[in-house]
Amino acid sequence: MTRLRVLVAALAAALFLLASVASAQYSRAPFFEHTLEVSQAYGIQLSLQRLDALELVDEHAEADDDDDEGEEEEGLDDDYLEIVEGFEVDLARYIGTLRAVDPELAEEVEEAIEALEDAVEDGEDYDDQVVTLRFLLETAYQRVIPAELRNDPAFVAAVIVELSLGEGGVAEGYEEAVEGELGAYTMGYAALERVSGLWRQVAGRATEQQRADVEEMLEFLSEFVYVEPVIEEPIIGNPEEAEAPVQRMIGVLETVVDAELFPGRDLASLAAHLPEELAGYCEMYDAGQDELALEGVIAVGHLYLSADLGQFLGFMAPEVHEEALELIVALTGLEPEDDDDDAEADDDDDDDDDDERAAVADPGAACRELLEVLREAHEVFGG
Amino acid sequence: MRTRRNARYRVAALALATALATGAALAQDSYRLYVANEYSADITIIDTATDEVIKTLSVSGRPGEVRPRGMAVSPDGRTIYVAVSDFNPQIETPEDKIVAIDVETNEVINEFRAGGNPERVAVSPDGTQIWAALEAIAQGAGYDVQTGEQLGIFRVGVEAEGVAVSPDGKWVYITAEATHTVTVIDRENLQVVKHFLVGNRPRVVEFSNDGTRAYVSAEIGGTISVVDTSTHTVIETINLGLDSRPVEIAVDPTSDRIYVAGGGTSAVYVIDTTTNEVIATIREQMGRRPWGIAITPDGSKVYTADGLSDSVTVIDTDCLCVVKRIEAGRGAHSAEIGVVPRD
Repeated sequence: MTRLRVLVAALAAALFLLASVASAQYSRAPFFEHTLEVSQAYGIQLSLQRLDALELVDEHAEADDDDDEGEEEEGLDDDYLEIVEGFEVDLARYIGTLRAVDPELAEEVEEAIEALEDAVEDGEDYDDQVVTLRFLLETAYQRVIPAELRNDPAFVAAVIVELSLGEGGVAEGYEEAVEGELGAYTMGYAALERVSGLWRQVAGRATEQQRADVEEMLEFLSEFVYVEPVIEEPIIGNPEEAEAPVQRMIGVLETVVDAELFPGRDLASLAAHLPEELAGYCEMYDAGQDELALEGVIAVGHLYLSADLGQFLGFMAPEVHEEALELIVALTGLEPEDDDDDAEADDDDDDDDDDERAAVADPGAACRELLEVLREAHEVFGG
Repeated sequence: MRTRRNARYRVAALALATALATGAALAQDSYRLYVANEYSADITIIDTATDEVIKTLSVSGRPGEVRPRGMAVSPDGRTIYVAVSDFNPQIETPEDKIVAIDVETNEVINEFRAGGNPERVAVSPDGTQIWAALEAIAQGAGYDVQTGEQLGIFRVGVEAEGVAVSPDGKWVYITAEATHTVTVIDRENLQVVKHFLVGNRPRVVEFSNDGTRAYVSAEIGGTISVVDTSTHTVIETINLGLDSRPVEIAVDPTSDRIYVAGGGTSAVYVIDTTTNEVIATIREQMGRRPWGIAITPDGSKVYTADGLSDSVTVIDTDCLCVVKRIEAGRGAHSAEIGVVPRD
């Protein structure tokens, strides 16, 4: 902890100065105001996006079969199995709340996911399962996300950010396609379509110039980056080809919806927010509401990993980051992005990462431990 | 890299004063603007006297796969160094290198390997070393200019980007986008002495002419961090607006101004460093997404490399207005100015 105190002293002055200019420019901050709900919305939207992707793959396969005039191939190619495997991770983001508000629908969603997974696993046609699950997820979105948030431009913009920059999103899809993951490309393609749809919900607020700027980026992405829904070979080129226009689009989007859309812009504020947000979820574990608690821990853990707080701590206070990372992975199954210099933290990652959550015997205790670590992380910024 | 240029500018400014005193005009030196075009893998070279393109120099036959980005200039102004890298940081290829261009002939005269996806480079004030921010491997490295020998390599923050050497040659500052930090390397003793936090997604760092301050642009933060280089601490933060997306910084060698390329607003922010206040914002007729920026040694013109409009914008620093737009290559990224001496 001596090192921590030194870090605190070193950072305090800089943070004071940064805080003095910290964002008061935008009136809203959806990632802070609705941490849980943004995560839930992302989970459901991402599952819907998986269905979009599966349909795209299916259409492509059918077209191929027609061209070949040969024997029709059944089932999903191995390259796309990850699309289906992701439903379980998405589900954990919202199933607790869904079960609380509509237990019957929650059960139907779980059954529909299982049915789809079974169909894929058995190499069967999965069209009907996709249709059924889509209907249920659309309904779940209405039940889990309050109407005032669904219609709130700042909230919609936050969901756009997740589908653009998050796991399975526009930027990542292309990056992974360069690394040879064909399914990730189709997910990115589907994410772009979904982002375009969500943009249309808020575009009415944009000035002519803002609209032109955002739509220019979307057009670039659809014309030059995601030119077709399915690819047969890995992309050769710049893995960040999609990220640059996405980042620019989000920058414009902030001005359109008057909201802070980069939750890590002020890392000190984020470090203060996360333990405050987490505390209530740890109590839910103690009250036996494990599913609801997990939703919150995922929302917090996701922000920790995606908004660069983990990156920063991994560099400046690695012992704190390692503890936080280990607990987040154990509690949620979320995985950090591969970082070139994060070898120490990644050392613990092995191939057996399908369900890290199963390793946690007492999630309430682990949550409280994570809470302490996040408070310690906040202290790195001066407390 | 600008440190290099700043050092040269200081020399040039001193020479100018001397020349004027002796009745000779240093202004007869000619300046050339170099613009690294990320997507067309070439360098647009512009004569600043006429603001006309005089050459487009290819740095790779694989545009779209190999890209030139940051540049630096030697203390005498006669050599431009370009960071060249493969687009895919996951792959180690011979394309990760530093290329030297002779300003007088505009030919490539040397190149050496700099593995790890070099994004930006800086030259030491004595002209003997090049320092590179190696983006893919989160390292900063120093190289001997003549031999290309690696003198040292150091762990810095994740996604290293900007690099500058202090005018006294003691310190190397390297920014890192993902950890939002600056790493300070003691150049003489070849050791890291400090990491410190700056604004969100720091891009470029430049030292002031006297070396007492460093300025760090933060793209997402929309800020310029002002660093006291005696303690390596942020002493002030200049807010340009969250949508400003500042990237490159040009330090005026003839005044207290710095010029900042605002990629988000397609603007150039003019800052008075005596007050650290924005005294003007140039927007009218600017190219789109100015990313790179450079200033002539006499401080009369500022040039921006405009990534979305594939252009160079010319700004007159008297009127602080745009006087011309020049076509560049695809994805204009960075700008640097070389000197062809009168002799």
